[in-house]
Amino acid sequence: MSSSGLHAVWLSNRAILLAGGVDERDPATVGDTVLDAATMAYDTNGTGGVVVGHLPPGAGGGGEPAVVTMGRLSAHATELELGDSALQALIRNELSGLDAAQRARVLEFILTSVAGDLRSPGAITLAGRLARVRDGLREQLPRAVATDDDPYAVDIEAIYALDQESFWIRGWIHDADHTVASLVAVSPEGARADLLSDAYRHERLDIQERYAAFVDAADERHGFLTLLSLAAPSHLANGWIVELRTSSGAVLEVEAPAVERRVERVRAHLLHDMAAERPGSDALVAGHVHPALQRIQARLEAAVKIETVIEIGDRIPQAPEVTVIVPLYKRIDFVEHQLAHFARDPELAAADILYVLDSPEIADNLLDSAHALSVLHGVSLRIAVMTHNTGYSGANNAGVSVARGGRIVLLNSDVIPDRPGWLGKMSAFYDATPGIGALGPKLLYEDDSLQHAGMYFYRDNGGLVWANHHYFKGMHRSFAAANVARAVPAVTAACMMIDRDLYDQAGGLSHAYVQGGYEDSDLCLRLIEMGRENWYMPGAELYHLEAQSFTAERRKPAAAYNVWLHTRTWNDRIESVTREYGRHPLAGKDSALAEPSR
Amino acid sequence: MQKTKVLYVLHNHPALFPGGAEAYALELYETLRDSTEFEPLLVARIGSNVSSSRASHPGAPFSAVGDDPNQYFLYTQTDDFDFFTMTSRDKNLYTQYIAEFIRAHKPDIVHFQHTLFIGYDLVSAVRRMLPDAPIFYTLHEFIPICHRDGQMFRTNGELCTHASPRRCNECFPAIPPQDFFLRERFIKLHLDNVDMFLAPSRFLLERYVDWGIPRERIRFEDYGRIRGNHSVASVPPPDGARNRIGFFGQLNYFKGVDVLLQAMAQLGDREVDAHLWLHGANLELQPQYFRDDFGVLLDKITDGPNNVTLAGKYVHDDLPRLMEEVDWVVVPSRWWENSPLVIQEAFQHQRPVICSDIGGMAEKVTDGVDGLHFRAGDPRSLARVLERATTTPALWESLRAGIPDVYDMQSHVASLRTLYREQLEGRLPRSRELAT
Repeated sequence: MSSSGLHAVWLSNRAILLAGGVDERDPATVGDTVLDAATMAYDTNGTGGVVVGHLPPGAGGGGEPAVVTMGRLSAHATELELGDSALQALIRNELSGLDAAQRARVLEFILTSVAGDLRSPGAITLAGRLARVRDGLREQLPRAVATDDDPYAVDIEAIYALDQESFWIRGWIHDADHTVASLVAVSPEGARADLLSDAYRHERLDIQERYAAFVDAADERHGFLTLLSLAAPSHLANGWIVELRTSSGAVLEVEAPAVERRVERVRAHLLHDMAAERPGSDALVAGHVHPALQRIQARLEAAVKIETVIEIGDRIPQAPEVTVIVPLYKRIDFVEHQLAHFARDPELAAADILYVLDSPEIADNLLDSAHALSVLHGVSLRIAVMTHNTGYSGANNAGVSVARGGRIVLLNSDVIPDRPGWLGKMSAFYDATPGIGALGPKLLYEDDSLQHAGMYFYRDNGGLVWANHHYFKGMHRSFAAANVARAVPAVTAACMMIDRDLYDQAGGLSHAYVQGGYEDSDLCLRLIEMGRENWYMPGAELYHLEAQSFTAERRKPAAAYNVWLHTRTWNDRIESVTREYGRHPLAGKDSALAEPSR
Repeated sequence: MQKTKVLYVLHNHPALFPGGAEAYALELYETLRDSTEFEPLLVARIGSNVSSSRASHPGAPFSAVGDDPNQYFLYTQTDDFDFFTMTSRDKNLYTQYIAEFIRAHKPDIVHFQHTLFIGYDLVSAVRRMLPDAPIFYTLHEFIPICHRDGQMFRTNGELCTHASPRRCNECFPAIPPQDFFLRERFIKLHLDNVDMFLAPSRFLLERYVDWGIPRERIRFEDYGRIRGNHSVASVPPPDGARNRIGFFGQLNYFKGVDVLLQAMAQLGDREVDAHLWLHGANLELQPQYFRDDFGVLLDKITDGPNNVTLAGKYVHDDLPRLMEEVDWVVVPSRWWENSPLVIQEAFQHQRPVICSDIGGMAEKVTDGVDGLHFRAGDPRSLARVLERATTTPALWESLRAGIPDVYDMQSHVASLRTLYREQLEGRLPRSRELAT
């Protein structure tokens, strides 16, 4: 085919699409500006082709009405906002005559040419244009109307965005004839990616039931979960399509539901999908869920940012030795209780009390009540408000970044001191213990049984993973063995003291874990790798009002992921630490600094 | 000499809603008003749950009570009050509004009669603003200890001996034990600022000592009664029988009024000639189950022995006349009680009291001396005691002769004076800074 005219349409405020009788040797210009152009000829014989031209950086006029010239040809491009009908005209006049394979090549060429723009400002407008280009060029397959008698069928149940280019897709495929040759996902912008080759396949009892009439249905792993990576970013929620082709030449396509992008939901669904893991295996989590989750975690970590730090009260210490960091997420009712307790402890008055609000939507609430509580109790404090929810480690690390003390106490909001004096005792112990890493005090439940006297690791879940375990949990606070200061494998971050420099050297709390869990032992293990020892001291006593039941906590999908990740990261170190310390604390390293609890 | 200014804080003003402890507090205030030594100041909380009058002045919760320059209403939003930790969610109440009042009046002594609807935080706020002023707190029931309206009567129907997060969670399964822990901690942190607690019964005093109040910071001091207010009703019954029984108080489950009705039904079955006058109100405020049970019992009695008269609501001034018409006053409470004012009323009117054998009732009424005990919550035991009381010749006269003098307001004020002076003179000034 050959063409003698020229059509021009702005795709974005930088990129313009030309089609017609172009010759790639001719420069393309908008006004006086020479475009940075890429050209694709329709075929080797003809003179036609498409050009994607970019304005050079700094050039003006992008997206505005313009005359575009290429060689002898010229065309008028309407302004970007009005370009839809011009785009349709371009496709109709210049591209609709091409065969399906040619159109597919053109589509791929255009998308490749503007892939970089999909990461820049204006990307969403561009994506909308690309969707129209895709719909104009892509060969539409018959839409599947599935009946239970068909030998093949496919359904996409959910698409979750992990970042701009990667997606988690859940669906099922029925292939009783074993003829399905390919399953290709097409993004609204036209990017194509194979769905099945890297997918995790699992049994779906509901689909087996549906196709029970087929002989092999019970053996088939209908379900698939896959981490899909695209060559170009995708921004649009609607318009995903999946194309199925069989070896016998049958084709069909199905529409996918709208993309879910809300991070909390995406993460919850990913964790939920971990239930499809086959017993005794970690293929799903290791090969699929983990890389998918880490894309989300990396995104969240990159976005950790403090909006503002507000000082409340007129007695903010000028040169505090210790910063007490309390992350707050959703619940702020504990703050009143903590401040009422802090108010009668002179050591806390000298400390930098820093709340980190990880639920910025309730900032007004918190600031209002914190101000009145500060006056009521005569305590001064600072509140760091995050720009958005960033998770437990993000909030703590952000808190440390603005800490004024050279020493840090990470404190949960549901930790209430038994009596004044705990901070000074911990600091004195820390000072007196050479080579110390993290220091944890005695934590109690509301009924005076032990919540924390140091942590060790034990094999859980059929021995596949190393879980954290608290020494003597549930014993009375006076239990003799828990009243000895000693080095331990790890201590909880519900109340953990550490020098700020050391915290920074160790890299702070890891952002790899989901929703709070195992960050503390992960840090403690890093400290051990750095040659430090973590210590438990019974002389400081606080209550940790952990309300969630242990079994409910363990059943949470996030906990299952965290314990897997923790094991994968630290298995060898945990084995050596466990050999060194033994499970029984008295078999471990007793301290010369041992002190009675009360 | 300048008078010592004593600020009384209470949760309700009797002018708006009747109540025993409130009435006592107002009488105490009025008595002290005549003193040459003390200048009392009274702040009584009002709010939407007791009065339809809103805060009358925008931006100011205080308003004057009539033409008395030393009496104030304090309006607080009932919705702002957290009935679990007994605190106002709006902390500006303490740090702004009440603070301004305290700074304006600078009392020498602050005596809390009740902080319901106001919050224990006020005790801490007062301590910070007036580091040297002695703080007194009169305990009327077990609200600091017990979330069940301070009754220490468990939701399973058992008397409670002590609170713990786990036991309280058993009573209120929807509230986690951790919250009860925080509740106790929170209230104690505030009450720590009280210099002297007053307990109107020894029983209540011991409960609070068990709970953690140091013994040296709590004294037994009963409510004082104004003598002149009451005539002693002593009209003898026409036939000489002592079989007229009176109940005075709230018609609710904790007061055991249903136990009394069951006992009356049993007396009817045994054809004992006795009659009960039920003087009380607020049945309509009780839970449906109680109103249903009460109605069924009352219908059964009306259809049978017909030995109960539901006499309805009464006001305090009616008491002398109403007491004239009965020989015995029954106090059948299921819960412990503290120092029931109805016992003082009965004794003031020379009526022996038949009461449950527990707590403040057993303390104030001596079995066989000025009244009779029955097994708390047991209608058969009460029926037996009522039968004995109404049929034993000369028992009434002998118990009546055993009734002690009531503790009068003048003696009470003299005791308070001593306590106030002790605190003012004996204590070391606190070193805390004044709030800014």
